Amino acid sequence: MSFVEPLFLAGLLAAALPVIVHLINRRKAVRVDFPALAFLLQSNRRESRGIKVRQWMLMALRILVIAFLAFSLAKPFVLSSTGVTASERLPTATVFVVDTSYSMGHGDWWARADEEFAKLRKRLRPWDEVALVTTAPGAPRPVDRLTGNHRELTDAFDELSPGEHRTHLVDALLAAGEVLQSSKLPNRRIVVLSDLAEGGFPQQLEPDDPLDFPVVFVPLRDAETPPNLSIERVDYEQEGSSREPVWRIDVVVQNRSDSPQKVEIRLEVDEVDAAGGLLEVEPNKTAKHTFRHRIDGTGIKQGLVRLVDADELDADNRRYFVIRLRDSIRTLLVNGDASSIAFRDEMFFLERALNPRAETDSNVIPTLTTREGLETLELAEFDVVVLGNVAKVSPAVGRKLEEFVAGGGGLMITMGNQVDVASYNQTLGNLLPKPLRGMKQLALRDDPDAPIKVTRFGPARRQHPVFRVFQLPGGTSLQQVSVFSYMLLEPSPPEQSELVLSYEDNAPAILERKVDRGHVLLLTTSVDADWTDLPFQPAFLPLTRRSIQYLARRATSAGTTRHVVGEKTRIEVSGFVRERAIVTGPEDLRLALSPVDGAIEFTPMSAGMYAIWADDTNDGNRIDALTFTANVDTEESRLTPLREETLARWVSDEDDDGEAAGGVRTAEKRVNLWPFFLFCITVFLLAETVLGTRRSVLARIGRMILQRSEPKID
Amino acid sequence: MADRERYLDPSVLEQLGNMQVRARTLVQGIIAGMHRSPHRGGSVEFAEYIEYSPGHEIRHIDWRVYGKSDKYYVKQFQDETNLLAYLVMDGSGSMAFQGEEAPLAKLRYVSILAATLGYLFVRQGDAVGMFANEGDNLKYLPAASKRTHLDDLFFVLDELPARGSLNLAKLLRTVAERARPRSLVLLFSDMLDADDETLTLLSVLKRRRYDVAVFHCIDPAELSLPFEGLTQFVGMEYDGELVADPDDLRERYVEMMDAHLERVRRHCDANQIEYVRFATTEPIESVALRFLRGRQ
Repeated sequence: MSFVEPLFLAGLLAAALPVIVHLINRRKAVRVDFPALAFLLQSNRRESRGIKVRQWMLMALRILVIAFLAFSLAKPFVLSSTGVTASERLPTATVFVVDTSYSMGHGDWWARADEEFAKLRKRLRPWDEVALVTTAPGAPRPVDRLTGNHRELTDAFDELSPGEHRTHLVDALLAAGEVLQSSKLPNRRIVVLSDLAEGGFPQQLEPDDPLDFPVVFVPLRDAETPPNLSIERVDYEQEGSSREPVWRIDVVVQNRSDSPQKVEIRLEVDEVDAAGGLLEVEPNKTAKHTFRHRIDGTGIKQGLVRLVDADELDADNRRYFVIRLRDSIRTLLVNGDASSIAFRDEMFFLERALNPRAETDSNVIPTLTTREGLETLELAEFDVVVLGNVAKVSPAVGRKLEEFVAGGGGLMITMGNQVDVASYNQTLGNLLPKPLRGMKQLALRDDPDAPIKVTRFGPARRQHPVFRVFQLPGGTSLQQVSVFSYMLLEPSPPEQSELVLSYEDNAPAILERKVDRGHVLLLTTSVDADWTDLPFQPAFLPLTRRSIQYLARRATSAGTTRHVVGEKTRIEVSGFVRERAIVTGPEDLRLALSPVDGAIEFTPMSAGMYAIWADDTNDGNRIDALTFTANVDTEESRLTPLREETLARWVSDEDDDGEAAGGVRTAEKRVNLWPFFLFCITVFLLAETVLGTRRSVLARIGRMILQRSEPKID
Repeated sequence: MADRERYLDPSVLEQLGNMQVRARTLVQGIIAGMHRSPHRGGSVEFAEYIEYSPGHEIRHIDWRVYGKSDKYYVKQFQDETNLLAYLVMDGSGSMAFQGEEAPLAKLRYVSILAATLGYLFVRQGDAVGMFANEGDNLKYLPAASKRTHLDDLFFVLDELPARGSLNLAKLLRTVAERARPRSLVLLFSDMLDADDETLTLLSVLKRRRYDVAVFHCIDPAELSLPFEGLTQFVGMEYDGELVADPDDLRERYVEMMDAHLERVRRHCDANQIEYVRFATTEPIESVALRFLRGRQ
């Protein structure tokens, strides 16, 4: 109990007054000589017990009246979450804000919410009005206007359960405030049933306008932070070339507790358990577990990583990802030296080497174009671009190629006598492993001394994926290649390029440069027979194919958009969809959406894989490229209780008695006790009057009442 | 010398007029024309000797007997046994009480009443004696019918001190020993210490053919306990004190007092003892008249 005016408590000393008055009265007793004392003594003996009790009661009542008066003046109050202040007895409009984020699925938090709601519901008076808002995205309002029908509220609450989205508490509070604005009732308040986990509330975001209504936060949890593990991210990358479907899957697990956690981690592919492991995570740190798993087949694979029995919050122990297995490498061959004589054509040999168009197991699909064609083509459709003896490219194409490579595409540049060195160095400077200097001609093709003058391929970096095949028996054919001319290169910073293969005279033959997620290979001689006899050598086919496969865009999670449950997702569908896109997803979701500006927008509400279908869901209409997975926002996994100051910012202090502000911090409010004391004083005074009134007077009053109530008979 | 007028309020005597007091039962002896007597014709024959006590006529002392026995004896003659009345006065401390309403203390009131009746008796030729307690001692005045005897009577009444704790039973026992049989015994008392013994003695007196009348005097304050506020009650017969709020005790007290009064009245009625209860606020004349009319 606390006091507004504690000084008045000094008045408690006055409680001694009745005792003093009693003692003084006793001294001032009037002396009367009385003859029939024997009868008085006898009466006193019989009545003394009753008299004493009565006198003690009178004394106690008088002391209590004074003590309670002093108490009342001191204005006592208690902070209580259950008490009712005087103003609260007036009709109240209450908007319940129910946290339906996935963190509410922790342990028994939802059951507690259920329990607390039942209690609050019971406390409503028939004249109170209610509404219900949830913290789901967009702050849905199951009971969207204030109503006196409390049954509707209960039914709506019963329909609720924790979802997989994060807490949109601010939106919900604003929505609740909006609902309350329409009420004319004297009391308006917002009751929030939430775990108030830090992750669910914006820490830094300042409210535009504090809420005008008192907000009561009903605690649903203990003050300590429960241990929680969450899968923060899953990254995957195809290892090696596209011919080798081995995938590296990195799982980052965060331990949000103060003790080390050891957890079993499992990988599922297409709902089949594929691999598992144990992971130990230091307190409040992350740890990475890497799966290396071979995934066969083609098309879309749904992957799921989950922590087994890690903690009481399951939603963040699962993470979905999707892997697209590639079945072909689309290669754009830019022909810089086309010729009507087939074998004189720059791309004649390469095209056939990559795909002989007969029965073959090659998965490379070459597309021929010219320098002009390159200007108009959408490079995103290709995995590898080969610039074969192209004289020059425009700056626009240069930038396009840079974007292409940075996005994971592969670029192979081969030389020839068409190449304009200056233009190359200018427009492709960011892609070339080393700037070009000029052609070095060792011998002419028909030079009889050619075998002496030419150079050959020298030692290769055997461990490079391109040359791994040459380590096999019979793999020495690379050294038989004769090179008549090659391009000399300018020096460049050593970290910019990597020498993959050199000539016998130590000049670089093949160089690699990594640009962001893509690779560039520069072959300093030609792919036709002008500068080398490479096309006629058995090494040509494996070398070109391996190079293309190496360069081919690798399937990786990097750069893919991460879709979050409860957040609006925008997907570009232009070119895929004519009229409408159909979205299918977990829990039998099926949405038909018409693209606006070539894109569709929707909010995934469950974690899992979502597929986009063009126009209908017939086989073959699924757009694999657009398939994605949505996962929970791990921010919500931070279960640390919200700091009080954060809440206080959202509440206006301009409430009567300032109770709102106090109530928010402690979920308690000030309940004044002095009305109760005043009531007691009234009762005590009444009792004192009855007890203290002379019995004769009482008897007389009683007789008068009886006489009046008796019917008069004339 | 007591002032006669003090007791004999003229208006009191006026109202009494020529009323004669008559014995309800047969009284031995005759006063001419007035009282029925079992004896026909009067005589002055010697009846008996009784020991002298102050108040007896000196002339009735038998000097011969004195000569023989050296003790004073008084001759009693037959014709003197007309009506003998004894006024038995309770002079205990409790009789000094005078409530706020009452014009007189109880003792004062009954003294006047007794004097009035005594005067009446003497006027019609009857003899009047008196028993009273003076503190813890007893006072006895033999019966005589002379007018001058009234002066003695009034003197004793005047001197009654109203103190001490009289044992009413002791007084009555003395009455039984000394009073002449068949005489009229008028007991003036507040009867507050009228215990079983006292009541038994009253009935014994009655059985011994005394004509007993009880004048039960009550102060209104004793009936209603009208005091207010914390009060220190002090007993008037050295019987202690009590500090209490009268209001707490009033109901029970009134109940007990009523029960006591009723007990005394019932006892008197049962033993054919004349019982006159009056408050000290009543006019003395009306009390005397009530008694006298009852005896007519």
